[in-house]
Amino acid sequence: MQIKLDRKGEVARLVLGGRFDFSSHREFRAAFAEALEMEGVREIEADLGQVDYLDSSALGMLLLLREKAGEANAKVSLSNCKGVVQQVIEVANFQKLFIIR
Amino acid sequence: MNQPMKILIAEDNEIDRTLLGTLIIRFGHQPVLARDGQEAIEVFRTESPDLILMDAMMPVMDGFQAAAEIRKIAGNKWVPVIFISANSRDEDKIQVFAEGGDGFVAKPVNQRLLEARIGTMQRIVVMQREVTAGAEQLAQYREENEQEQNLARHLLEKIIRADRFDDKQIERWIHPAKYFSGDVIAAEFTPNNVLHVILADGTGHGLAAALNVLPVIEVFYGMTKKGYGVSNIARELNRKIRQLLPTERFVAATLAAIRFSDHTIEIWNGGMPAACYVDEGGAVLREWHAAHLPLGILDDRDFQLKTEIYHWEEPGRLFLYSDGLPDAQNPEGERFGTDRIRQAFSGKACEDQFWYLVGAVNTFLERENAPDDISVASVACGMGFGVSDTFPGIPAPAGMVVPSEARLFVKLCAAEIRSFDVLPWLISWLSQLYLSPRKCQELFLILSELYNNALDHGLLGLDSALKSQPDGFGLYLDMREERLSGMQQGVIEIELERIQDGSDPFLKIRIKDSGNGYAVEAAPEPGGDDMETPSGRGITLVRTLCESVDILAKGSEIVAVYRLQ
Repeated sequence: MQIKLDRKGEVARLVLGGRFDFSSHREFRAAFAEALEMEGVREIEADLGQVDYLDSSALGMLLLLREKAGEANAKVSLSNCKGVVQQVIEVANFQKLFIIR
Repeated sequence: MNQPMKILIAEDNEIDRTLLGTLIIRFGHQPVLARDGQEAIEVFRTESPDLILMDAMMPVMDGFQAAAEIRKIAGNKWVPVIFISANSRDEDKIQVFAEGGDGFVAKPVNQRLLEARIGTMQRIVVMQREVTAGAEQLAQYREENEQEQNLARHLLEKIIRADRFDDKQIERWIHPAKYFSGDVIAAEFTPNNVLHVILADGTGHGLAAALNVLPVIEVFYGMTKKGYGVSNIARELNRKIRQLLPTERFVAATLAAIRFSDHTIEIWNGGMPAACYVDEGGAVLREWHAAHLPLGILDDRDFQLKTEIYHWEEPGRLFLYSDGLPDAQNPEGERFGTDRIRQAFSGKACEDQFWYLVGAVNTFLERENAPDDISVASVACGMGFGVSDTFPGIPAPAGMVVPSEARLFVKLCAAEIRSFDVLPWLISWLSQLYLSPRKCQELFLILSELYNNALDHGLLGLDSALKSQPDGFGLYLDMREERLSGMQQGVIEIELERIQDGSDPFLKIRIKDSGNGYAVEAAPEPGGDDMETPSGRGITLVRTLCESVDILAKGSEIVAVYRLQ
């Protein structure tokens, strides 16, 4: 999975692309650890627009992100969810846990 | 530099042989010598050298033959062979390599060239050894992993008691993924003959997935057998999973309670695809979409218990399935999707719907294994009133004495009535009196009947007659829901007393509600005429099972006496 990290003010954005599954574990953790270390970050946005596959391990990783972000007092949002990705997020009712943009 | 290698020198000319031996020692390696092809093979067997310098032309057996033999003996271990020959035309070199030689050095031997060749071969040997060791270790891990998978499957099967449940009413199919991915289907009756079915899908694959769902199954069976409702089971499962598993692991699940006596289906769905009720023509009459997050994510305070209840007025089937089903892909990469699921049972008779669906999936998949388990469960819902199942009460150990006088009193206020599952609590107390399974079940039926009447009619003021009207049941359930959540005051008292009359033990049951009374006898329930099934309804049932039933205070207090032996 490709991950790009950028920053817009108080929001650190992780732009993810490709398959988000159990093999993305290490890169994802490394990426959000980096994002959380940035100064003055209040929100981590996971941009899923380029993700074409998302399974339950990916959902698990988002939960982990949420926990770590919570410890750093940052919110987590999910953006550009469409197609299959959006369906998975909806069935799991993750809109109850994350801000959806 | 590198470690010294043991090098076999096969050379028929004595002077050349000695010279090569000296050179090898100078290069820092250890030589072993052979005079011809035959001896080379023998020396190879006894000394196991790391590299061979082979003269192409030798008497008795030439270098090429010897090399071929040695390769067979060496097996998986690669031992490089550098051929030495005075014939160094291109055709000769080609022949060396065609015969499987790994290197060529011309005679007279150039010392530095030979040293360089040996150095190259050594590097390759080291690499090859590492790769082989890696491959062997990998094979070992794979074997251990498969054993663990088998253990997980075995454990799961035992815990689900898959062998036990051969009920014609429930059909289940799990098409496992290549690496078991944690789908489980379990079913069990409560003491009150309500069928509980759970379809759970844990994150991950293999042993990890199995570990996720093991605690789920135990809790499901335990609580169902005690008579807990689906909401409470969901809450306990959530608590347990959250407690045991790390943050990133959760379990999506659909929990269904099917009451054959009432024709109702109550479902809690956390993160699973929609369950559906399908009629005899294959049309979907009702769907239960996931209203909740999967189990193990929210903490207890935030956990949502709300279930959705449906009353079926025509026979049909309840279908539950995991996301492996709509997500299943054919070799072209197309998803099976929800439409195909609906199509599979559209127009099919009830008995066939399940197997048509299974058939459609198998045809679609063509090849063997999907990456995710595909699980489907289906329950037949007819218009009859259910089959009695024996409640596994605890048989009395020989010579066991129980207190002849024992009393339990509990008083529930509005908030407690809403969220405390009092019936299983009462039954667990009763089970300590060592009653037979049959007795336990009868008591459970009596207590449910009296308690539900006290609540529905006494406190909530609902009229049973509504249930018999067309579409009335749904209305009844909605009203019940509304009134129950809005109830501010309301008290139910329950008293159970074990008394001894001479040598005969009895249980005196007293239930009192804080309502204004209601016409107890006039509360007919659907199917009340059917006296044969123990799940026949109303106060009539209670009268049949008890020695006596007294209605006091205009119906708000009922005292029943039940013979324990």
